Amino acid sequence: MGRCYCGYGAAAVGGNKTILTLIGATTIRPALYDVIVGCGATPGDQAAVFVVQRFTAVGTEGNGFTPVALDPGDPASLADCGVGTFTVEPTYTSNAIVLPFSLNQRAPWRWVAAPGGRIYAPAIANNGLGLKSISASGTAVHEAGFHWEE
Amino acid sequence: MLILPQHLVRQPAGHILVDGQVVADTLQCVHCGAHWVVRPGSRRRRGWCLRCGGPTCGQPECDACRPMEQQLERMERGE
Repeated sequence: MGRCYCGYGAAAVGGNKTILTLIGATTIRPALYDVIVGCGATPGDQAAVFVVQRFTAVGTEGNGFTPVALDPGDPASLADCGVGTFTVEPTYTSNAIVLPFSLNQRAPWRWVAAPGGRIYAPAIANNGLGLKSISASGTAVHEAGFHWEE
Repeated sequence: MLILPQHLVRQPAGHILVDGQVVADTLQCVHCGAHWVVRPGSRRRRGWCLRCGGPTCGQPECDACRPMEQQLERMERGE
């Protein structure tokens, strides 16, 4: 198994609001294998539709996030993360949704890849995978985490 | 034996957990790499690639055999 890293981000949900991005590099194809989404705000019966989708331009992130190596002995990640609130959304590729899901604000949600089921981002600078809400009945801040392998 | 929805996929490509419990399995398209939750009786059109030997998502773009590796390489070449 390759080197594993994690990224974390938080942003309010709404129409096409990116929470977290995994940005590839020319030197690596990051392989996403774990996605976690939850809401730490006051519990409410709100729902949101999320997608993980490929993008070709990173947009303007709210903050950067230095990926954390799951093995402290590993070198720095070649991939990068971008965290919401994005002032300019990434340029998403149409018809390139790789993981759609809906979520009630009260419940945490997690997707884990089985062996051979990872989602790969291409080895292209500023391309990658973004987790965004495409619609929501509320505007609560949701937190999201990515685990990927390089 | 009680057959639960999360047991309907023989070789899942992913698992969805809510509150720590597996509630569904996903399959992955061998062409575009997209995941979806298997819902028997949903009438969603899915496919199977005989060459790649795996399920396809049913999108028209994935009907022709273009393996995921080939698609990634084409993206990286800028095609």
